[in-house]
Amino acid sequence: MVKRLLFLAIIGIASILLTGPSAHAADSLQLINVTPSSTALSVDPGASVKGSVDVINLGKNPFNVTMLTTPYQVAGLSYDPSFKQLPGTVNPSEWIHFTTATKNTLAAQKLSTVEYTVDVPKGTAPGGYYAVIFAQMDSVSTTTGVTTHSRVGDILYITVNGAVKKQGTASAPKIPSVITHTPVALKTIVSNEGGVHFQTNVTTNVNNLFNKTIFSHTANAYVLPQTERQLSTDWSPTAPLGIYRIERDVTLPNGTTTLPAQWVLVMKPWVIIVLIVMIIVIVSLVLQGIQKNGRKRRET
Amino acid sequence: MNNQLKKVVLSVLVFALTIGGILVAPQFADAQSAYSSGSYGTCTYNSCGITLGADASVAANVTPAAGTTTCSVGKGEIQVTTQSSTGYTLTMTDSDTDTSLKNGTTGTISATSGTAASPTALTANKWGYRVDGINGFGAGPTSIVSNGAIPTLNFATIPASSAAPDIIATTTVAADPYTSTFVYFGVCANPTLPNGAYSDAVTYSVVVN
Repeated sequence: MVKRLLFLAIIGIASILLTGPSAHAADSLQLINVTPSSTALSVDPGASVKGSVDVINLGKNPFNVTMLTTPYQVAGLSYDPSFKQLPGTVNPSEWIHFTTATKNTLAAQKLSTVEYTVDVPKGTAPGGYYAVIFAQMDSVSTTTGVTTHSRVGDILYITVNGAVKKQGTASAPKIPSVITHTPVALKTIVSNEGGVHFQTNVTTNVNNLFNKTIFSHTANAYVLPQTERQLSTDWSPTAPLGIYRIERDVTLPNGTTTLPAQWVLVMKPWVIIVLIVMIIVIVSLVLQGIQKNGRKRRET
Repeated sequence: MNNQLKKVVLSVLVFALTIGGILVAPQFADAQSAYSSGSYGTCTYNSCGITLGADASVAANVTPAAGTTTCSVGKGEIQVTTQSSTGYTLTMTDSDTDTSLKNGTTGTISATSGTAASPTALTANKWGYRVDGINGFGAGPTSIVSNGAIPTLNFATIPASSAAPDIIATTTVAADPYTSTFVYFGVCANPTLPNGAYSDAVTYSVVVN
């Protein structure tokens, strides 16, 4: 209980200090928080595992909360989420059973801990299974206009234990050797060719000619089985002209992979204009010189 | 060496020094300073929370005028906060499989035929949504309208609860402080529509990426 109160106090203080604008926003909006927003669980086939999720009303008015579960699928390199079961697939959201109330009225600035078990049926094949626990804030239906229901999810990354292939690869889409417009999207694609998700860390460093790191970014993400995930960061070079080396380290199930470095020349548009003007001046000076020399020869 | 040749050599030298200066000086300056890190959150999986704030309802009242189509556009705000380094994705569906605005059993305002990828202009007795700057909606900006003409901007149907949701916002970095998404609901009506209170419900869903 003391821990919960302390946690709530920290959330409250953090929301005031760190997310200041949210404070005034709370005047008109209903605010619901779920912590954590993702949970990794491992369980044997035929066994159960317990978990919990905290639902917090960060607003100024009470609201009704309904807990519900859905499957979790992703599509495309950008991992567009979908909460529908694909035909012919296992629906792991049916394995989740709440052990505390699924409907609550949550007072302002109050926290509710919702407990659940994940009961994996016997004979379930080893591998990764994915579902979302949503806390849905149920607005009172209006008789006119559009009523909004807001739900915030905790994604469950469930590993059913057993022998399963773990394999991943990484690649970096080619970026132009000469870059004139910023920001530059530095993309890395991580592929999972195995049967269970893994967590990847993609560290992207940009070094200058002095081998000094001038930009660094680390992304941490899950990659689901038999999918490709693109992780991207934007780099905005400050120098108008420069040569840089882009390096990427990616953690995969079989260790860390260093992708081939890429060299790029960054040239702001105004530098190109200056160069063109200077080239024109030099060429015209050379032509003038040739013309004068020709005239001198003819005169002599 | 004649004067003209000297000028050319001097110009080439100035050119080379200029390029060298532009190229090397900033990199030397970079080398003297600490690097700027990318923008990413302070928490990773299993430790981040996520917060969503939204208006409980959005109104778009229309009073049809004789012989014409009258339209209104209402605006709802959604705020998302997370320190997750991969950001979040916010989606929207209708709360059920009926995407019409209903007035009990006496009247229906059907959803527009446009989609998020290919939105269309509203017509009489149709409704839809738009979010500036995402999918096929274009930059906007959309304005709130009360009993005006048919909006020049395009709107889309809200996917049924059984369909794939429309993504209405996504980020690749942490959102702390919050980021706001504005959803505009537009409705057009003519006098053939029975008077009354029409309503529907939508569901916003947010998860970390």
